[in-house]
Amino acid sequence: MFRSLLWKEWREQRWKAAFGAVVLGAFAAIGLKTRIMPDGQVLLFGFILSTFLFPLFIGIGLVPAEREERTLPYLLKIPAPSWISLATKLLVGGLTLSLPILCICLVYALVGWNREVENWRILTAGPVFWGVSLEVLIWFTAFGIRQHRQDTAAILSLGVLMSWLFILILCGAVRNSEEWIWISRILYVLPLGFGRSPDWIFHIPNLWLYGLIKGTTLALLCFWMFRRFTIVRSARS
Amino acid sequence: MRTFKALLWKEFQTLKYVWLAGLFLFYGLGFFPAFFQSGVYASHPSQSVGGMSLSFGAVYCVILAIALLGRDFRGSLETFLRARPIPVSRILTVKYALGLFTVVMVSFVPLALALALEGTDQGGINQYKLLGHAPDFEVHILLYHPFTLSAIFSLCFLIGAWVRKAVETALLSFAAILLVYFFPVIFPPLGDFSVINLINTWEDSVGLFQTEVLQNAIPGNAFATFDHHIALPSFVLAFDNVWVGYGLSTLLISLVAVTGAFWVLEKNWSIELNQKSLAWSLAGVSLLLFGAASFEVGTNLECERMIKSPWEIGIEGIAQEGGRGILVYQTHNQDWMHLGFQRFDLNREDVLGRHIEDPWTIGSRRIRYGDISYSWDSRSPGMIHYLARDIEIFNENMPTTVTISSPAVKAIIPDASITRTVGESRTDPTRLGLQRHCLALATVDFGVPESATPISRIDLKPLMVKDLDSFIEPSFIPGLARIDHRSLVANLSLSKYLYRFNLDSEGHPQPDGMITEEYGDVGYEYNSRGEIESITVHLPRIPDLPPKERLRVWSELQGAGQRALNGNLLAMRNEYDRVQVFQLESITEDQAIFLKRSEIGKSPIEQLLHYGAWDLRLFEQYLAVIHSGGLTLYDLSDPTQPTQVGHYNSGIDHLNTVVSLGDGRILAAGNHLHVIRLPERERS
Repeated sequence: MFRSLLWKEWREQRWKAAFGAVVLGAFAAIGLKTRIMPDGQVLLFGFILSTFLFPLFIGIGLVPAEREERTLPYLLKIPAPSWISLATKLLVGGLTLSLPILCICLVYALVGWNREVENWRILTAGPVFWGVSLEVLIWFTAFGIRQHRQDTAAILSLGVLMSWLFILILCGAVRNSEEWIWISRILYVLPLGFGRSPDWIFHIPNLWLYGLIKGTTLALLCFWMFRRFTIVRSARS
Repeated sequence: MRTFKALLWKEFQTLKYVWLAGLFLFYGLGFFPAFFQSGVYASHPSQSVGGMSLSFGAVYCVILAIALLGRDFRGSLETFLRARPIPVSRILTVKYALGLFTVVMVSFVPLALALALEGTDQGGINQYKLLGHAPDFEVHILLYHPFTLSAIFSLCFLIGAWVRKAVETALLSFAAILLVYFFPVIFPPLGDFSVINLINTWEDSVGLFQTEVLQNAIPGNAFATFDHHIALPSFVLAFDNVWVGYGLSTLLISLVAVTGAFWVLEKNWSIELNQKSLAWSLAGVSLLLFGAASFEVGTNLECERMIKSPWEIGIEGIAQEGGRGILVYQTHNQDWMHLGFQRFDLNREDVLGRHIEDPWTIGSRRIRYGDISYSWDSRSPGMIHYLARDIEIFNENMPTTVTISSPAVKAIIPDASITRTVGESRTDPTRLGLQRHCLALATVDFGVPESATPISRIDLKPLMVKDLDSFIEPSFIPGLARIDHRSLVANLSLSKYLYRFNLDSEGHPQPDGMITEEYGDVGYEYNSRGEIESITVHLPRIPDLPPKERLRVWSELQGAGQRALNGNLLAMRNEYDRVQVFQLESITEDQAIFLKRSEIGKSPIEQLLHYGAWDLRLFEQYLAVIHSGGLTLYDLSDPTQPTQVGHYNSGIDHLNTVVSLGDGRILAAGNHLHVIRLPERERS
């Protein structure tokens, strides 16, 4: 059953994987070949698009699309626990998210290998951004899981994105205050928030604190998401 | 009439929140700084209002079109509307008219109001920004952007009528907006239809009411001729032809789009779009624009090799022959100028040799100021001679009551050689610091590859006694040129005294004396349109040197970066950063006459990115233009029709200079060295 679900999700999402890989790969290829911007900026821009906008695109196609097309009841009728359906969707979504990032790295290897940016930075940044994009996908899916339409789910996801930016701007305003060290811990909750912390490289204990806060946040989000998905099922039946 | 009123009421109900949003965005946020006198825009509301119009105008048009058409022509509501005894065209007319009215109200009216508010009542009506002839960025937004927004709204209206779904309309409209704003930028033949470029031409413009142009009666300006003949008051509308063309073309686009919208709704045509096709179309348009723009300003010249310099200092100049020579490092900074020299040899494994850092100023309180001239010859590759100025700061705590002038300074400090410049003390702005400027010729000896020796400088003070009064620092640019491998000629003052220096002497060059005065004046001849037609160069009188050599010396002594000379070709850049190409027409003992053959303008995307030529180099038949985006190479085989060979975007490394290596490669330098290979067809 799990394989069948995987196959179904992959059939639905594969064009998005191809879309992301082609568009972001082409973007990186054009940028690196023409050197319109420094290599690092081209890659960063590509990674940011694949980390923050692409999960939105994937996220609205996981559950809201099923509800919009009224196929969710059929999916939930299959003889398997409902969490398996959602887990399969997230798994395929995660796989789909990895392809554009892989494509950017591949294009970099072919066009700009070791030219302006050290290779280890790219090799490290790829998996890091993929991890962040998974986190973003969980956020967007958790908030948009009960939407009946893809456009409202997209607007909700954009709202979540905007609220992160708002928090970052707000925290930036108190950056020089004495309480900044404690305020910066709030940022650990957000995707990429760790990078905003001023001293993260030099304080290894922060890494554990970061892992703890991030893990707890994601666990709570996943719990909330799966619970709401189950409610969807019980509401239907 | 009752129907019309009813339709208006219905649309009012539809648009009321959109209008509130427009009121908040374009009036509330736009005028907020002026009302509350806060921030940098407090006294310039046109800047904030214009910024809002540029930033959110197009997005607002999309929202407006969706609000007008996204709901009414779908499902049961459409059935209801079509069942009414009112023609669809009338419903659409009301919708479009209200939409267009809203566009005018959010784009033209607030900006015109802001510009009017910024005027003063002193000096008459011409003092108002909107009405005066002074160029202004916001006036250009007012002149061009409302037309653009009208066209965008009409296109969105057409898309909305055709698609009839909110998300799909929004996505397609954004693709259309990208095309309207950026396609003319990347497609040079449409440059006159690019609103971005047209707004950016504000610095070259004379404004909306070209009263000065009218009075000069420039040929080809119909309004000017009209005004000249019937003697209208001096305050007359004289619209720019480009503006009229742009306005008419956007009105035509709007007309076509709105006719299309009426047509598809009358015929009840609609297209069903799925997410996949929309995503691919939007991505396709974005990639097309990005790719076209990138290939226009990015690299297509192949960088064969990049040699990273360990110094974080820009390479200002390259003195070379073939693949070897000396790099000149220099930084321009308000407080400090770093000077350095380094040997290089591209044929050696370790390309960069020993670096000499600031040979004049180690351990002293002197600072370098201004430009540097240098000379190098491959027959004595170990030596580089350079002419530069430095400043010695002394008596920083001089009382402010002293009147500083040249005689006064000389009275205070009798031994000061050139003491005209006075600057504020950086530690205490109430006190003045006195600076003594010196000009000196120095030599660095790289004779032994493993070592390099700075040779003490020659103070040129004794040579310049006559010229003290005319030596105004710091605008003077020293010039140094090589007459032959045994002697140099240096320009030591503003009044252009030339001195010859003998290089046969041991250690450093010795002055042979003054050889000429008052050389190098350039005369310009203009045509009736105010464009340069020819230039006449008065050659320096250097004995035993043929006129062509003296022309070369003139080009080396003056205007480095501003002009470049090679053979019969001369390239100069004008105040608008356009490059003019001249060809030598005749040369006599006293003067050389160049005729203008062509002018190389900036492409729309170069205008958008504010690329301006800051250095020109001519070699073989090529002209290399260094600008903030890297380097662009032109072929001047036919000086009347320069053709672009290619361009090289140096990324984070801002290039300063370029030289030819003579083997189909060029060497460009910024913080690092870039060896660039010319395309094969260019080398054959």
